[in-house]
Amino acid sequence: MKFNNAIIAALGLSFAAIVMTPAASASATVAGTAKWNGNTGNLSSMCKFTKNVAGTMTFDEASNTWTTTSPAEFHINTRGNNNINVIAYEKLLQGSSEIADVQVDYQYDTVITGPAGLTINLNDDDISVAMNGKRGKLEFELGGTAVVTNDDIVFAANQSYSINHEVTCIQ
Amino acid sequence: MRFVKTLILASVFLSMGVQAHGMNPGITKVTTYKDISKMTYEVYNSYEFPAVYTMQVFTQDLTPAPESLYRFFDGKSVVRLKPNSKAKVDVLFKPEQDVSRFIVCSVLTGVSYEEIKPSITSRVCSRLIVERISR
Repeated sequence: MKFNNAIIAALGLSFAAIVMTPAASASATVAGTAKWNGNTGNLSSMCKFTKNVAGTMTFDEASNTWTTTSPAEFHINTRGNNNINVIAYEKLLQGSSEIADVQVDYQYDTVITGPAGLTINLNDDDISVAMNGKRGKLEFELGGTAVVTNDDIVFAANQSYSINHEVTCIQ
Repeated sequence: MRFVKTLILASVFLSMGVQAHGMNPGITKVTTYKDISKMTYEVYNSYEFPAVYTMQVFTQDLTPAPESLYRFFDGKSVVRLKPNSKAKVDVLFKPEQDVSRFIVCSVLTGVSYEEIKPSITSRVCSRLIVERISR
């Protein structure tokens, strides 16, 4: 009788093991992770302008100076040993007509945000950024002043003018 | 009396959505036996408005390259792109030296169907090194 009980107990353990095994397996399936593996492959250098918004400026006739009230904004996504240059086109334009020469000063109110390790030269009328192999997003808030160099110009009221800037990214 | 005029520049660029101006490939080195090398650049306009891009070729110091050293295939150097579109531009190079360096650029020169000159001119440039080897 004891023998039979032992057999029954052993069979019971085996049955439990059989019953438990699929349950444990099903649990593993539910809790398991699925994933997609991937690799970017060989990516070349990149310059991509991702934002380009004109700024605004006001004119102070007493000082003959235009001052930005909101900066021109542009973003560049860059990868590689790239160089970025900003050059002011120092002409006051009305439409496509050049009205006067201006002297631009970016240093007055320009902000450049980007990855650490860049070499940035912020000058009066030009800016250069060496990415030094860093990758990431470079954000420019291009503000400043532009002094009209010709004192003899008499502006009419409520006329619109603009000053252009050229941004070059060399990849 | 202080007289202040306020100017709001026409914002010809929209700030919403994915916007981009770019060009592929980036820096490239071509090693060839041939006297003339052909490079194909892909310019893409991911802005939500039509744009005009003008191709330019410079020497290493960003002075315009002599026209004797390159030409655009079919003479096509201006690309008009609809929103979210791209185009290929073929450039033929005939360098005079064993190792020549160029900078090829696409410049945003007009926006919208009216082709208004943008107040910020974006210029995406790619370095190109052409190394000519002898047989």
